[in-house]
Order: sequence, then C-alpha cells, then structure tokens
Amino acid sequence: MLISNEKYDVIIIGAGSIGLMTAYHFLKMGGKSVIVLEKGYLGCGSTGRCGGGIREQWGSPENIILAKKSIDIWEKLPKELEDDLEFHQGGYLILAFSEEEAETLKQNVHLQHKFGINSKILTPEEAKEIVPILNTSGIVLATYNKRDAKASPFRTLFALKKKIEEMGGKVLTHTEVIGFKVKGKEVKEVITTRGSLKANLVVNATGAWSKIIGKMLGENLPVEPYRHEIMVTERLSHLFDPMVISFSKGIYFQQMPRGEIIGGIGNPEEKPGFFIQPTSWFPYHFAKTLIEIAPALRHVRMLRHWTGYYEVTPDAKPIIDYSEVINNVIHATGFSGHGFMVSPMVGKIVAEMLLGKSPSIDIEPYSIRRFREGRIVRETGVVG
Amino acid sequence: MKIVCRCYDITEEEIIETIKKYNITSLEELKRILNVGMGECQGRTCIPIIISIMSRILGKSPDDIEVPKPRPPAFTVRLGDFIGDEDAHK
Repeated sequence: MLISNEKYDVIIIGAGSIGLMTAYHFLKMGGKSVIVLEKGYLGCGSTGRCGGGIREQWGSPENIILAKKSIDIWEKLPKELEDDLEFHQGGYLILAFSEEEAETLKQNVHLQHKFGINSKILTPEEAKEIVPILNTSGIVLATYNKRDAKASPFRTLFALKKKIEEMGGKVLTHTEVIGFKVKGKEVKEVITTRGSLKANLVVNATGAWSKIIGKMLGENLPVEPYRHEIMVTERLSHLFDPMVISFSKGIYFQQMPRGEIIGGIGNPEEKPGFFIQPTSWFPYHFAKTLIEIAPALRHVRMLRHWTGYYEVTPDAKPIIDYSEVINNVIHATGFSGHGFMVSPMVGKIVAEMLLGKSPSIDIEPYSIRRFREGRIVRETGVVG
Repeated sequence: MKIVCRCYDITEEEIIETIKKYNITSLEELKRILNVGMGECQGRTCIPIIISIMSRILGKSPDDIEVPKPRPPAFTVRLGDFIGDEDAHK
C-alpha cells in the first residue's frame, strides 16, 4: 500500500509507548488529525522488549515527578482504554548491599517523601516477609513502595492502538521514515518507505533510533543506544508480588501474572551501538546474581533470552523539548531504559505542547540545552 | 474447542478473536499479545498451525506470514546449570 499527499496536523514517528501515549492524549484533549508511523510491527522496538516495571522510587526530582504523575494515569488507564493491561500494584523492593548504598537509598527515600511518595525503609527481615525467597545475607536494608507497579508492555501498546483508531487517529506499521522535506526551518513533508505525508507538527518518539531521526533533521541529539539483555523463565506458582531490584548488582526481576519470572542484569562493559544479538555473558551473570539473592530459583528453567535497547543520555534523564534546529519538531526521547513507566505523563505533556497549551509540569529540566550548558546531575536510580 | 498452543492453552477461537479485535497482521504481533510460540515448546508445536489459521483469516499466502525469531536457549535450561551449580537438580 502506498501513501501520498495525505496531510495531518501531527505525525508521530515511533509507535512505542511514548508515541502511542502522545497520540492518545492528543485525541483525548480534542486534537483531530494524527498518525503514528512505525517502521516495524507493533512492539518491535524497546517497549515490546522491556520488563514492564513502573516505579516512583527514583533518585532525582525530574524522574520522581514524571513517574508519580504517570502512576496517577496508569491507575485509570485500564478503564479508559477498556482493556486488560495486566496493571498490578505489587510494589518495588530495592535492596542495598553496602552502607554506602544504604545511605544513597535513604537519601532517595527522603527526597521521594518531599514529593508525597510513601516509600519505606525496611530491615532485611521485613523485606523477606514481602519476598519469602529472599536470601537476606549481605543485605543492609531495603526500600519498598506499594504503589509501584507493573503492566504488560504488549497489552498496553495494542490497547492504545485500538483506542487511538476508535478515536479517529491512525497507526501505520511497517512504514519507516527515511527523510524529511524541509523548507526554511520547518518540516513540510515526512518521507517514508511507502510515500510522503504532509504535516504541521512532527514528534520524534523513536527512542534508540531518535539520534538517526535527529541526524536527518541536521540535529545532534545526545542519545546513544545500549543493548540490554533480559530473560523469562518457565511458569511457577505465585511466589512474590514486587519487582525486586539492586542498583549495585544491576539486577531486576519480577513474577508475571501467569507465573513466569522475568528479569535482566546490566553489563557494565556494554558499548553504545546497535548490537541486537544476545550474548553468553548474560545467562551466566544473571543466573549467578539471581541465585545469590534468591537461591531457590536455581531450580527454575530459563525459557527465552532476548535483547532490547536503552536510549541513554549523559545524565540518564529524558529529553522532552522542541527541536533546536527545526521549529515544528518535538523530541521525546532519552528515557534511558525507563520510558514505558513514564510514558503516560510524557504523552500528556507532549500532547499539551502539540495543542499549544502550556505543559502541566515545568519541562525546563528535560531540555536539550542542559547538556550544552553543563547543568547535568546523573540519575542514580538506573537499573538493568 | 481446539487447543492450538499447548503451553499456554490458547484455542483457535481465541486466536481468531484476537486477530480481529486488534487488526493483527503479523505473527510477531499475535505472539506478543497471546504468548503463543513463547512457551516451553518455543513454537515448535503451535507456529505451523497458527500460520495456517492466519493465512486463512487474512487471505494471505502462508509464505507471506513471517515466522517469529527464535530465542536462545533452544531448550529450557535450569538457571543453576549456567553456573555449574550441582544443587540445581536436587
């Protein structure tokens, strides 16, 4: 199917959680004509490969605000989209393995309380009551927030697409953007593998690929793709409710509604680039660390192991800003591995920007120019 | 009731209903929403049957339905076996 000469108010590039949430909020707020372009099938990018965790337990105001307001939206979303997103608030348990790490987590909790988040500091024994398979040796303390959650990335994408189509928007898969027709400082046309589309406004929501879109526009976005690996086990009866994570060990794992355990571990040696192949480093290091934390899981079988990308900025915080080169382009990228969880609020903010409304939170902290001006403080709460 | 996916007990009716509900055009998408092909059999049992169902519903030739990418490990492996933990089999 070829497309050509169609005109839209808004063209969103990338049908991941950020792109679809933006289209959904745009239509919900009264926007009329929007199309979302996806180069592959729905879920082929980073959303469809992620662990599905949602938390407000962050270490910087920028991420805490986005996450908290996103959970407010997540809580209502299954009803709004009239679909089962497998959204469940089973909490996040964050483990500290040294005095220094315990101090950082305590500071994070202190910061979170300032923003009205009810995170708690637990003793190792209290943590074990919540996750009975936990090996408490070596754990100094844990932090826990019951409002943290999980949802199915796939179900969320498909439910959003269905709702967007019901509201009059379009989602076009297997349509890759290969260039732009720019006049002066404005994009006039978006050129795809299936023809060109005219647009008033364009959103770059392409995550790991956003630097490539930036380049087509003559803009150098400080976003690099890093491969991250993840695995899923066979199904087990219900063992524990929260997502369990450790920043120092780089591991996260949770049990899904059907009983599988899903989890990943970050490889500190990973270099930026598009390396999609799974490695042999991962199964060994993941199994070793997981069995230290939850020894009983040594008996459980790994079923599948795959990779996805974190699109990482120099401070591991997002970019939500107008392009510095082209007047009618907005970038929503750089979520550094945590885009799915904050996508509801990001979608809302970008929709407000598209409709010429003032964003409901101050977007200055998410600006592109902060990198050039050297105003960056790295987020401490990144995992995986 | 015809069971197609024996790992997740997914029936032919559920597959057809899901394809129609979400306008699904590829097996990669169907797999992500129903978990078909992602169970212990890794799709060895269900994928050929699903291709035949999709080809019928979508009016496409079976050759035009992309086969989902296989994921390692090819067969299930106990986590303890990756680190030579002999207790894994106790």
